[in-house]
Amino acid sequence: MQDEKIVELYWNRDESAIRETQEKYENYLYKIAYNILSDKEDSNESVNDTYLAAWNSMPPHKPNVLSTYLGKLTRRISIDIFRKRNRIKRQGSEYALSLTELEDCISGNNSPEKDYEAQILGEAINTFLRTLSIDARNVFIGRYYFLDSVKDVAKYCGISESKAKTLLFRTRNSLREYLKKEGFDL
Amino acid sequence: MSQEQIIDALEFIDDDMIESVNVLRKYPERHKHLWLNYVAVAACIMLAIFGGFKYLGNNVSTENHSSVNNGSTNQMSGTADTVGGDENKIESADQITQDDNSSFRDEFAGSTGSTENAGSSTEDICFAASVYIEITEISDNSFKGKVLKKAVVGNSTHFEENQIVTVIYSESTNEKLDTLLIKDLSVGEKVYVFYGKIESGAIYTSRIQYEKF
Repeated sequence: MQDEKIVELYWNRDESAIRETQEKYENYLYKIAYNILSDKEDSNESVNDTYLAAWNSMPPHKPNVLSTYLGKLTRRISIDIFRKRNRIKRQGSEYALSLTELEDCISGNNSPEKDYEAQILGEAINTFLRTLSIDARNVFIGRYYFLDSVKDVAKYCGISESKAKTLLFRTRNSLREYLKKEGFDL
Repeated sequence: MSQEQIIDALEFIDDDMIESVNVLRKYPERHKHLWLNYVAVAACIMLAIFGGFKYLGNNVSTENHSSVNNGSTNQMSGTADTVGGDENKIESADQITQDDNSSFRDEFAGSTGSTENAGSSTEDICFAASVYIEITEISDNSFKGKVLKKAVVGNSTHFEENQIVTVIYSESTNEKLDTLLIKDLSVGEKVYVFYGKIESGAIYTSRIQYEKF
């Protein structure tokens, strides 16, 4: 089924939207989740949470590219699960726990301010990525957005692994310089 | 700013950039430089094939030339009485007409004038000779060049290596020969010149070729 039709099902509050999404995007979403979580159960949980998040967010959202929209949801949910899981693991150490508590004092978790900062930073990164060569941009997004391994990124970008590593190294350095120039506190 | 903030911020990357990478993940790009390997392998194969042909061709050519030269020598020895012991010259047109290779010879001797004109400054060659020349100067219907090596067909004693000779082109009167014309040539090229007459040190030819035959 075409993406527009699936979005329409969500807007019509038709539950078959979830089944259609699952049929079309389960593998894609699972791969994103697994890259972050490296755990089958957690990844499945993340994908299921994605369907729920999609159900709750459409409407009001009407994404142009459904795959990207769902991918972003899965990515965010998986990162949240990853952080939560690590926090639980660190609970054995009082030192680690105190650090976590202090982090919360510095900036509120998922606060509107934090979201706004992330958005401003995201826009700066967006502009920066537009200045890169296609290869460098694809490698960067593949590695840090989709969180694929360097080997996989090199493979699907059609370049050698060493070239991918070099591109990533140069792009990271360029990004640091760019963000400094744009006034971000690094 | 922490690494996590950057990871979070990447969520705001434009959809088109994400989608283009997503397409790559689905349909990976073929290795961009892999074609270079294929080209290198193909070049090696072609080199081997052409090298092989060239090598075989040279062997066959050498054998052919040996047999031609032997044939020529035999003919000469067979007519030793009439040529007076001189393998390079003939003394009358009648003897030429009795030559088994008359048609081949006529392409050259016939086109360059009668063998009866053979004199002190003119030398008609009974059997087509050739010389390998590097062109140094070109004019309307002639060119000058340096002799690179001795003839490969027929008479081979007319010129020394590195000798500068003048080659005058005169069209065959007998038939249309497969030949290069003066206008086709350029300075620096190396050509085989087949000739039947030498006059005042100049070669008269009606056949010029890049390759020997």
